[in-house]
Amino acid sequence: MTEWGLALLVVWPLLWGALTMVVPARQVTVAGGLAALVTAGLGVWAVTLSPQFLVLGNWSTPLGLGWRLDGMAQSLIGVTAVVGGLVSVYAWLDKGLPPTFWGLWLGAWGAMNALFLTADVFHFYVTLELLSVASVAMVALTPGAGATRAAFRYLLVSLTGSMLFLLGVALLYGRYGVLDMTLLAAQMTPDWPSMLAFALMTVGLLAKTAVFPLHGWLPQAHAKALTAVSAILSALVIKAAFYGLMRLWLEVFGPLATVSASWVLGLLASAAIFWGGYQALKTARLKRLVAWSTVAQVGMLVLALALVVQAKAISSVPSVHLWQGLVWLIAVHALAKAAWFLAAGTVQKRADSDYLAQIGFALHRSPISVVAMALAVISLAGLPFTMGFLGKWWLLSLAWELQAWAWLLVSLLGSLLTMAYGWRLLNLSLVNRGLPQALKPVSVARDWVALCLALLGVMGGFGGHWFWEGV
Amino acid sequence: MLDAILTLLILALAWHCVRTTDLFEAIVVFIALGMLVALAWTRLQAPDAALAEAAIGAGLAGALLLASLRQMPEMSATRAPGAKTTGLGWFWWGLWGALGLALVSGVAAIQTTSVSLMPQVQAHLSDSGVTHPVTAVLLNFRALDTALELAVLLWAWMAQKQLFVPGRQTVYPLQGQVLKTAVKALLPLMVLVAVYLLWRGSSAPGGAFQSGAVLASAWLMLWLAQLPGLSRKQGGMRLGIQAGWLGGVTVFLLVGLLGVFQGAGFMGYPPDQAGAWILLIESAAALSIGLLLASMVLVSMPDFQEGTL
Repeated sequence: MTEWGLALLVVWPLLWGALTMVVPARQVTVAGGLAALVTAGLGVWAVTLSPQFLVLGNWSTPLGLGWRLDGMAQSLIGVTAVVGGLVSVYAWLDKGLPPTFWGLWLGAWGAMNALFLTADVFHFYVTLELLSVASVAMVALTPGAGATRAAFRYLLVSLTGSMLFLLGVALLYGRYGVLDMTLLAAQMTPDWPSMLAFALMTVGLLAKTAVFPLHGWLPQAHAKALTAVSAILSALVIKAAFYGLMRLWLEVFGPLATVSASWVLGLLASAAIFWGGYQALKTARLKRLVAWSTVAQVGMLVLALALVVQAKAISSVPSVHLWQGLVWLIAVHALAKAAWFLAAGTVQKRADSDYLAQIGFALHRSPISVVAMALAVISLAGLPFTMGFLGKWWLLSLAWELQAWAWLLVSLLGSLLTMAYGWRLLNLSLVNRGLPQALKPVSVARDWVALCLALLGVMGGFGGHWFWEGV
Repeated sequence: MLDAILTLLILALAWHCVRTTDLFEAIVVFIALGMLVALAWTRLQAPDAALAEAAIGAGLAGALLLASLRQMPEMSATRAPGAKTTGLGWFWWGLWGALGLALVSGVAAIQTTSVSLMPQVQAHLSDSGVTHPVTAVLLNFRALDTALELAVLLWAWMAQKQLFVPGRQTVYPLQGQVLKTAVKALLPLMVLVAVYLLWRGSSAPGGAFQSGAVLASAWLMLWLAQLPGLSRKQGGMRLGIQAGWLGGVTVFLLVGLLGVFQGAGFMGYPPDQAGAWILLIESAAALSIGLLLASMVLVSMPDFQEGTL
């Protein structure tokens, strides 16, 4: 039963994604939408299973491929299911979406589920590859030369990242003769080939996660994409690459992830937080603002990873809730960013403009979306009574225990910056709303989907006890 | 000695490919580079990789690049010659140079402690349904790798198909009696070679990817000669082509699910049936790969018309 379910978690979206190529264009939305909802159901079901290790085709590792359903994988599969399911509902309501979207999105979803499950570094590369192809193609769904250029840029960065990762995999296989993550972790020794592999794979994944200074592709690609695509890319796809970083730094390369190595991550993260925040404060366009905020928030995730690496390296600090905190922050960001992008896309559609100077009236007339954006900003900034608050609290107390004052300060300033650029939008809807103008008709159901995501991001805070104590 | 010359040639061609200001020249050099890399693979005793590199890396990738070049406006096809390397340019040269050196030293550090999974592969070969170790790994021990690689190809085609803008340029038919006659004579032979490569894959170098590449070129020749054949708007044929695109991934994943049903695990087969299932999967995969690769090149041709696929 369990094996069936886990196999379907990957096979179901891939088969349906492939089938959308032959389904007549008129029925694609129904077929794709239903397939997506079933995938979401499977993902939620996977969270309820007990952790386990599964070998594919009865070939035990290292010869065969291993699938590992542990807390980290389950959480990511669950977050993807909830956010992906709601974004699929939004996409269903969006009549302007080309039918090709469904095939690409289901392919990306299947690839992500396989990526979260796999315990094999080469198979991880294969899933990354499938995910990249589908994601780049989703950016290119937007008509026009600008989006095609953004997609091409994304493709080049993504491919370079994949190649670097693959070089690292080759070095690992040459050095240790196995590809299974747990076996690699058990044998890992800090010699030159391993360190080189560590560096190459990290840089490759940093490029795919869009960590400063390798973030250049993100603002364009995420801002030019169609609304549902922006939400998927920002909330989920970059998290898949970040999940890879977590596996590498906390598990595979455990002995190599020292305190000094974590400083590199911390510095990059701080630069991302400030640069992303600065650009979000400066930009004149709505979706650019949200996209730059992703750059800053990715910085926050990497900063948390740096702190966790330090906590693991310094054994005197009680290492409780380490990966749980990271996963929690991922969930906060996924829910908030999906809500924000969907709400922004709805407003943008209504105003028929992406310029902040021209959307004031549309914002004023979209109260549900404005509430969704406000809740998303509050959760991202980590204000009380949200999921984000618990995440921020965990991050700050970890920094406190480690006496990492610099990182503590950066994290607080990051929250302030989030409030500042979030306020730019709320200010437009409440104060400087501008002159009344004709608005495009857009179904109010789309506002509600965004609000659902944002509310989950708030109410998750009340479910915190179950997660922090139970897992 | 041969290896040293080969290495130097590969490096020189790679350098030239990057540095040349003429895009057409770059593509030609790239194809030559692919052939030399294929040679290098044979020297490393990896004939499977060599066949795939020659057919796909050099052949079809080259065809795709040339087809794309024909669609580009004249102006963008060349870069200003004699441009000075800027500061940023030197930075990249330094970075990639350092990466190259690091890789060389890293690989050199490995040589002395070489380990691999080959003993394990040999030990379980008799249960894999095939006798060629590479096929055993690709289609049995690590079957999901290959299934998802097929998915990558299908999704790449999905991406390319959506970007296709119909009616860009005029038609350049490559007709002629000689071509037609040659294609008629060669076609059965090519199909035969494809089937042979597929069959051979179970016991020797060969298999779905190599066979698919041969099928793709057969289909492309058929199309270039404008013979009545696969690429027409007939409903049945259209459906067949579409089914062919999906066939590889679909059959592979469904057989994988069947493994759960039979108690052999997801993406596994009972040892006594493994050979038959692998042959079925490889046939579907070869057909898919052939159709997908040929479609990718066809849709990049300037005179391609919508509705043909």
